[in-house]
Amino acid sequence: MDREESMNDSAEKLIRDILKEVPRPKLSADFASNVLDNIEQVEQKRELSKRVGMVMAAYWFAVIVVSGFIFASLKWPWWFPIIFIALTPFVFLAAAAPRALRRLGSRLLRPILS
Amino acid sequence: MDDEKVVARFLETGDRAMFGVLIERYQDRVFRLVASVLGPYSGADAEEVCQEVFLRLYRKIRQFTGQAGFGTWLYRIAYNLAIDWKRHARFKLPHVPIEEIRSLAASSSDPLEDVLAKETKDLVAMAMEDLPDLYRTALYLFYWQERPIEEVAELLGVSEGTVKSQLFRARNLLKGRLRRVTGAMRKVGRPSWTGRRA
Repeated sequence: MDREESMNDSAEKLIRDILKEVPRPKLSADFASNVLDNIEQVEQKRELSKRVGMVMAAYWFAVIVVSGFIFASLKWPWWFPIIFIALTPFVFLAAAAPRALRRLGSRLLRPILS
Repeated sequence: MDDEKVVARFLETGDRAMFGVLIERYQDRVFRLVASVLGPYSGADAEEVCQEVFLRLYRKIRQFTGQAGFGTWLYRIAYNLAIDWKRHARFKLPHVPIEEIRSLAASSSDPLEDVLAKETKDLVAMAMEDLPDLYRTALYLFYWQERPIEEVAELLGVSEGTVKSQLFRARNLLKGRLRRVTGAMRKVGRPSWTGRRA
């Protein structure tokens, strides 16, 4: 039992000696404000994706309703649904454009204003 | 104001200053826990993971039911996130910490002595890194971060007795592993010109 204890002590000493030399990391002083800034960005992204989602939902609703009318009236122009599908990426871009334009504007204006 | 009240106020008003109170209150402990999971020389990673912990907290705070203490819940999030990070980090490119490069430059007059000392340290460090996650974290929190047993127990969400037994088992595992490695080295044998026995 004594031998076991002394071996345990020696292991403890070894661990202490080695870890003593390893520097302990420190958290930067502005950590909390950085986190709060990141939260702000996360919120903005969430808001944007919600807006894009609403636009997309409205778009697909329109696609379904218009296609329904076309089917119902039996006057089917073959290119009509294709136009809707082809426009889909542009709807995404249009939803994201105001923010991208704002960002671009502020980047261009920053050197002039500062 | 206790944590539960701060959380309730934050959920009620959405006031970020309330969330700031929680960050200020827990940032140091969460950072120590994360750094201990990731291991030495991981300061920058630890800070990044710590940020991720609080962002996740922000997203999940509505899920806090108050069944466990707020701290216990937050430390669990931090521990799980840090463990995930460490597992993924194994697939990243290895890097040499700047401290190691500096120590190479500042070697003493006896290069052989330096090499042997470094070899021993590397062996122990490797053996420590191979320990099970919980044992290794407890070991780093207690010996490296020099936290008291009760804080280690709080951070790991276990009792003080469990921490003591985890530390005891970690030391035993470490001894066993070192004995196996040094035994294998003895079999290979050291060159006689080193003037010392392994």
